[in-house]
Amino acid sequence: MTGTGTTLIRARDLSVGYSSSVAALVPDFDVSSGLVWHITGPNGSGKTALLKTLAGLLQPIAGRLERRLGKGSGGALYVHSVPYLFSGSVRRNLSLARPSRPQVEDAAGTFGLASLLDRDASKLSRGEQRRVALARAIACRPQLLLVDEPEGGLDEEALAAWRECMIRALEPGDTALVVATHHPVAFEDIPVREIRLCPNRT
Amino acid sequence: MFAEIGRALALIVNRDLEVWQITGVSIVVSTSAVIAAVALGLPLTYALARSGPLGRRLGMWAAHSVAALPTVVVGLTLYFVLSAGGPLGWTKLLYTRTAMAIGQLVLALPLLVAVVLGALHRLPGSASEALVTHGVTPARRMGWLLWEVRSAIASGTFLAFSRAFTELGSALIVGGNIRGATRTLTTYVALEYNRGDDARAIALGVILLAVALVANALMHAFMTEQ
Repeated sequence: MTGTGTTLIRARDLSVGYSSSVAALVPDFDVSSGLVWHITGPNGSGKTALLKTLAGLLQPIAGRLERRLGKGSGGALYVHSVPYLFSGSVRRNLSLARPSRPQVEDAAGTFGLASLLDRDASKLSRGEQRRVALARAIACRPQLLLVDEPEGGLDEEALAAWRECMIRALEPGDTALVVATHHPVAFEDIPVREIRLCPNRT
Repeated sequence: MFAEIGRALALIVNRDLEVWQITGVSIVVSTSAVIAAVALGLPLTYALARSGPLGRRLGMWAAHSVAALPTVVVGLTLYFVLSAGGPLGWTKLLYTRTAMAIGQLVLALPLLVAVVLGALHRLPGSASEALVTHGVTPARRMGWLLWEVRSAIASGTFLAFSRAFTELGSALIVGGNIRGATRTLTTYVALEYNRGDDARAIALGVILLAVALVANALMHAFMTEQ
């Protein structure tokens, strides 16, 4: 299972989980730029633990994980299934990692948030909040974007809009997207791969 | 009795410059103690919040324990530390406003720490992780997270001020109720009560209450705005 662009992640015999309790034994995989990876599996199969490990928020419990990524937000960036938005305006949230003003406006435009920039982020709908979290991540232009269950709380229409936004955001081709999801979807002509996790019963 | 209190209040408000000077000393000493409590307390609380479950529990336990200390115990301890034969006797701080502010700092700090630590603990883990994953530096992370709990900081600061401003035991022991220097509203109330001038003591108590209520109103105005 190897992609075509620059290899950003190389995982071998990887086990992930929380404080030495193994949540998932992960099949070997490489993540390359310009690709979309779906991580699927039932609840409790370790999808979130894997994403957080790829993001560097958790340490691998066992195995080898090579991360050929830049440091900080330009490297790997993780978006929660229920993202936390900080108090204040959408613009304040998009400026979290101090991107330049054009980067903020580009990201807001991509996710249809241009008219909401000065709105209080806590007063937005759940779908809008999710778009703010993704725009906040995309504004940093990460090499690897890790998104946890984007479909939660979104209706079909919002999900389709989300997919379109992501396709636009991925168009430059230098970002790899890894999505933990129960409902894998096609991303037009962007190649999509899948890692299926099973709950660790050991 | 009410007429007496009224007369005493009128006298205080109109002519008694000493009472205003004492009120000023009370406000300056307590405000200094609270400023020091905020300056020390916020980084300390943030460090405790980040130190894992054990550190957080220990921090909360310590804050609650110190918050429960009687003011006279704090005053007595500080007295022995600052008295001529004590370990910090060389500082010659006993019977100064600084000593009173230190005593009030010890009383005020744990209240602020307990309130803010609880609020930081209640923030979802995704707040801190969002900052880490977006590459925000540790110093800026502290700023972002403390801003999220600013209502708790306002509330803790007010509680700290109330505790400092209204305490008597420590101020009396390490301040000494020296006229024109370390006499505060609470030590003055105690003095007038001992002298048997109940009306004047109550009138001073009313001023004490008024300042505490103004501080409360300011905090609520801030929290409503947020």
